[in-house]
Amino acid sequence: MFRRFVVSRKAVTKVQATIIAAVIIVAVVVGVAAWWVTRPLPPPPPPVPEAIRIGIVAPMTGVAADVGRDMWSCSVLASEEINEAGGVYVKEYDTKLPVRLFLGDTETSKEGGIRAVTKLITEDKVHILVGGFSSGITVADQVVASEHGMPWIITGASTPYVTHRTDIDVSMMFHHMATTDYYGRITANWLVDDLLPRLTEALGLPKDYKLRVSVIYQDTFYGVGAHEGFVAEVTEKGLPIDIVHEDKFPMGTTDFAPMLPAVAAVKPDAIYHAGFPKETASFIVQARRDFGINSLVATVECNNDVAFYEIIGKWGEGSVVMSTWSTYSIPRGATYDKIVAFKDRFYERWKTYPGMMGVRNYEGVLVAAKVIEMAGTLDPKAIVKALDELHIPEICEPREGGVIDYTEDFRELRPLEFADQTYFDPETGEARSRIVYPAELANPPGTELWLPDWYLEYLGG
Amino acid sequence: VVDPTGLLLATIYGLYVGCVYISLAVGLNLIFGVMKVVNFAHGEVMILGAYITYTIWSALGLNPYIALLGSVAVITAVGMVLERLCFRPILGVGKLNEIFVSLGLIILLQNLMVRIWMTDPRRIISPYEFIYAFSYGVVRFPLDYTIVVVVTAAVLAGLSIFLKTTHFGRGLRATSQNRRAAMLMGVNVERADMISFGLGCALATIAGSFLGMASGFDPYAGVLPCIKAFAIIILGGLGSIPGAIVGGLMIGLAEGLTALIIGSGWRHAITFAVLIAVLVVKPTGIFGEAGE
Repeated sequence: MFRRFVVSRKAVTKVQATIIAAVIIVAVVVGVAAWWVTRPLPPPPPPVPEAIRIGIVAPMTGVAADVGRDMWSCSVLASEEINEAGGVYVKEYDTKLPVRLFLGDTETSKEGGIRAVTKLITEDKVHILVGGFSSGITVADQVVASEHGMPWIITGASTPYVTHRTDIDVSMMFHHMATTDYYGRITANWLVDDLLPRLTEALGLPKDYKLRVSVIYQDTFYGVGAHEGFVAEVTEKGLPIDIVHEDKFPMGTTDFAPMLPAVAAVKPDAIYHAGFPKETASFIVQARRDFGINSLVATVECNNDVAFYEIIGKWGEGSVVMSTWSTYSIPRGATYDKIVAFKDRFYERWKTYPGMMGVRNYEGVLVAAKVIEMAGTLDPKAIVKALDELHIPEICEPREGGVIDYTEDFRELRPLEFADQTYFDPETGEARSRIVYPAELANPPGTELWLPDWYLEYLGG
Repeated sequence: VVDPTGLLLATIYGLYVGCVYISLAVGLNLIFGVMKVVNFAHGEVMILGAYITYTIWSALGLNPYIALLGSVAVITAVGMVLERLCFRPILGVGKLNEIFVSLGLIILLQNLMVRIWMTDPRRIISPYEFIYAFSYGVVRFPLDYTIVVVVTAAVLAGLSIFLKTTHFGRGLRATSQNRRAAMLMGVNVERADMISFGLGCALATIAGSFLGMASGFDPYAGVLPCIKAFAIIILGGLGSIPGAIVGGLMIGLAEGLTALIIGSGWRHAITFAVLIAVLVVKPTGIFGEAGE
């Protein structure tokens, strides 16, 4: 029975063989074609973005609009420099991309800050944030950035809380400035290292003399932080400082008269005043002019500002701003030439001089570009990793070790502050400053802390 | 134990700052007395006046006290325009409208000042700020304070003479006492409104310029002094100029002495505690009388 199905060799003709071969070939071709058409394709290369989008968080309206203007102007200058040099090479796209800035106006308010950061992230689709002025505002709006995992180089909020807080994830935020507790600590050390020995010598005081200091601070994250840092440094190190008077004031205060009789009563050797330019300058004028308090006032870096020098006039003589930036001087050292060039470029572009917050944003934009180049991608996680690994030479502000790198624990910078002492310039009719400490940054070279006659008379009398 | 030197310093400064508040509060009271309008933007008018003085002083290099004459003229005119355009159309319509117009003016004036002068703080530097009229050890009375006290006294005396002896001044007082009766007696109450608003703004300019010499100011610096001016006129009695003088001195001295004795953190609290205590005892204020 099986025989009936056996095909004999003779039965397959040449034509039949050809047909069978053709069918097989067609089937193979169709199969291959079908596979080719339906094969899984590799993902398409990512579209090349038109630019690196950097969001600038700054107060362009409200009480701190002048600071915001400075921050924006300096950011624009940095982006122009980057773009004139051809942009930033991003390995993922194998091309150089220009930098494009987007502005988020915080309106100098917490609500405005939240709106600004939300807009930058969700509408402008920025790749990284730079800026953020005022601790209170930044503490509020960094919550939005945290929710979106947005890398942020914070340049204008001095409270350490912005990178220390644990209620939200802030691991993608980097603190590009000195912190408030550092302000207090560095000032306490400067008073002991520089002022105390000179005062002891000038007035013939005993060697174990303790400097009598009054601490007056703004009742905010910023002022309280500076006050706590000062007290902690004195206590922890057992510094020869006797805090003889403490008081605080609300932000925006310009009338300090009610608290000044109490200061006059203790006649301090020095006053540490942690306030903003309008506040500190008003304090100095009222203390000296109206209450005859001829103590030496040391204050915080944000006072190194054109407005501060305008307001204090001759009353500001002898005051010291502990700072990483000087409005009217330039620290000697590695950053000297860079600062000269930066100030010249800024003046050429904007016909004025940059302020401290602006300089920090200038650095922030340059650092943002650098870390994107290091990351080779615009992926936020890779950018954060590059920020973690950042180790580049200081740009404008002097840094400990001459490098910009963020600490492993709280992603903070290690600034190098100097003492900038005020004098009255009869030519301009305004106050100006000279860097007097430390010696290696002093400008003009060899300049030392000056104790005015009225100061020594006040303490000696 | 209160340091006697500190006490003396606090009293001297209290006298000075009291004079500044008196100018502000008397202006506010004048407007309220005649128009029965509470102008919450009075602090911003004060700062605008300080900016005009600052601009004349810095641009022309004039003595700031001379510059003050110019700014008083400018702000008086500005005040009259504000009254004509903003307050007259809503007069008598309802208190809520008046409140919102003056609140709107706060925002408008602040933004205008930011636009023109930006937010950088300024200070008017007096050529006399290194001169003291009286000096004994650390206790000293700057010449500028003396000028402020003398100018304030002269302005108040002038205002008093104007209100009591001139025909127009009597018209203002009549309008203040009974608007309808004054109108029936032939007083041009609309002109009285305009003049009182202009005079009130002029007094605010004097206060602002004096404050601008004492400390730095910016477009937002008018809020707190204005609140204090309100406290003063409520303390002294709404519409009462002697009440504003006494209230101003009381607030100035209360602030200074509180800071010295208890601590400056308590100064606003104690000031308002004094205000509440006075109102509980005499709800119309020290010199106030029951309204129409």
